Amino acid sequence: MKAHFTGKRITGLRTVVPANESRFEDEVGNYTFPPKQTLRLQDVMGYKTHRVVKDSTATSDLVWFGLSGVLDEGLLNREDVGALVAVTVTPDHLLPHLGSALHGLAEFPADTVVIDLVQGCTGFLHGLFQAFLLLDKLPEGKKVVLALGDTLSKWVSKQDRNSYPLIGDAAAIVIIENDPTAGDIYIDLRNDGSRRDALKIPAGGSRIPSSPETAKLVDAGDGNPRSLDNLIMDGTAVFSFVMNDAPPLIEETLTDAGIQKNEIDWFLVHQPNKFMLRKLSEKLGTPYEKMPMNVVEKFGNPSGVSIPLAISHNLANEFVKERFVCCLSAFGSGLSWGAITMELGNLDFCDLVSGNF
Amino acid sequence: MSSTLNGVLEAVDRIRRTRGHVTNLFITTDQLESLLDRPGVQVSMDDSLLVICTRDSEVWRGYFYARNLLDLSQLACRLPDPVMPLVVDIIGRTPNVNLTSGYLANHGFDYQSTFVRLSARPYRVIRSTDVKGVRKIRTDELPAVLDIITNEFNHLDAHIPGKDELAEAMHRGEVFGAYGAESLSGVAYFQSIGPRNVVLRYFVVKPEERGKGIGNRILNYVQQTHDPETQTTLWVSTSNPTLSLYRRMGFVSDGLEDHILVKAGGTKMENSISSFLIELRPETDFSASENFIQDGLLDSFDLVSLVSMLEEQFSVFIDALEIVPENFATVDAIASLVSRSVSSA
Repeated sequence: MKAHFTGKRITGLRTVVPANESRFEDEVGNYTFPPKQTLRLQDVMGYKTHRVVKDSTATSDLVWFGLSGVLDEGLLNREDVGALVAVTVTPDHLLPHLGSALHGLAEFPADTVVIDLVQGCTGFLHGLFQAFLLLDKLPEGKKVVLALGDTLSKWVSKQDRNSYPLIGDAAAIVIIENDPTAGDIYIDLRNDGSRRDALKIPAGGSRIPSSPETAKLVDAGDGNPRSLDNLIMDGTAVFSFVMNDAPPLIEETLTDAGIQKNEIDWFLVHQPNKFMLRKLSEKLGTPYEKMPMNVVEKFGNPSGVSIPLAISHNLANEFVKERFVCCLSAFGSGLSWGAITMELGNLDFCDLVSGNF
Repeated sequence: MSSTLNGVLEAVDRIRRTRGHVTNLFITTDQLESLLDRPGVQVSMDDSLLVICTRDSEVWRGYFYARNLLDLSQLACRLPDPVMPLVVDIIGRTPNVNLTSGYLANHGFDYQSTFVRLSARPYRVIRSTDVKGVRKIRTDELPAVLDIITNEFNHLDAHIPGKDELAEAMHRGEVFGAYGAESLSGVAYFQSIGPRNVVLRYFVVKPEERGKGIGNRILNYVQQTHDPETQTTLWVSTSNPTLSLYRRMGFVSDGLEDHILVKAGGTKMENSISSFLIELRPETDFSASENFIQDGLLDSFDLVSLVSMLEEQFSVFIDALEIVPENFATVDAIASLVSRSVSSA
């Protein structure tokens, strides 16, 4: 659906990544493909380094590191928080939710609205949409905390050359509040559940509960041994989904907002891999320089955290100093995709922190 | 005059007025008109470059007028059908011929061979005056003559004469043959281009009959039919061992060279594609498959690698919406994808 919001803006953003960097070159031996062939993907896809959590780290550990830092450093006051929107597809437990864990750890008051969203790569856009809706109803001065985090590395086979090198674990804390001076926001979120199987983790839910059987690695013939507990992606279908569906939505959202493509300072787009972003940029006819595409090669694809990470890695200083006209777009499991045009900048804080996770 | 001819003449005139223009088209207006009349001829022209391509069996032959060397880089882009190789002859004297051919060699063309022009007035046949078994060839022997010539030359190196051209030459009595016990063992076509002036266009002895003096017998015979003052001219490849033989017969170079360059057509593209496939999946026999995707030989990551290889090798942008399985089903499908992709050069 399309929506138009006024008087709302992002005022702070912190991204969290595990400090430990895993190098693709060191993992080449895990895959069944000849190293030369695998290494070719380094430049094309952006397989260089990525950040994955330790076995003992849970999603909420990453997210709480971000949120507690923001609270402890006085960047956010507990009493100002009217709502907490938590987004993950890799929760610590089926119950309690990530939002509940954060609410408890942060000792937020009982009248804080907590909403948990299950969204993958479009999680940031869905989270912002919820935040904008909530801000219309929250008491004056109350802010929304959007907390995103995923540890998808735990659901990807280490022998899956098509997915593992691309995966990154990360979390983000984003503060959204009412501000009468803020520019207009145009958002359009779309879904096509008929293509839901293009990105799938078959086991681990009520359909096929995890068992020793679902944990067995099997090579289905594509040279990438994985189990039913692991993420499986129909790469061709996902690629054609992004190339066919994202550009027209972005164009349409720009039209709705009455903004020309060349007036956009930054295209902040979900970071699936370098190749797809290069092609998307060619398809949109925008310069490569206006679309950061280096998150995958440095951190891996962190699902819903990708846009916050693209901002904090590339534009942290700029986004504190001034405002920019931005176009955000994300696409992923669902299949779900969306676009937003909004001003971003003059943030109270914008940074990237890492910890021993 | 046809409108094409007029347009071409105007383009030639415009380009010739620029200093340092380059061309490989040294012909009269009448010859130009007959070139443009050939079936399948393709003309492309603008202010900086005129390209005429004629079809010669399996290759295109390119003739050009360019304002300067830099404009020549566009030559290959004017190729009418990328599936066939484009052959250009760069004729001239050093250093000009080297500059032009060197430039093309750096812009997608490969050196095929170099010919030099030799002439003698008259030539001296060494060791022999024998003319046994040599005579003018009758017109009904055309198929045998064509057979010998086409077996010897390929389309990249030589302008192989068409049936009609040979038939007319035979009718004029310019084609001579040497006969062994049963059949024709060698032929020579001496094209008369003026009084006491002939060009030895084709001169072939069947491979299995070589070393028996058959070539000498033909040359002896022809010399006896010519005026002693006749000048004979010929083009010979610098890699042809008979070059030294011609020199011993009194032929000397007049300084003209013909550098033959070829821009590979589909054959080379398809070869590159096949080698990329082997690099991606060394253990796979692609030749046994009629659909690489349906047979599971390539996955989406192979397509990504392949797209980057193709974009790099052929300097193209492959449109994202074209990256669909059916465009990677066969080598031909991939070649066709590359051919219709936009140049990134």
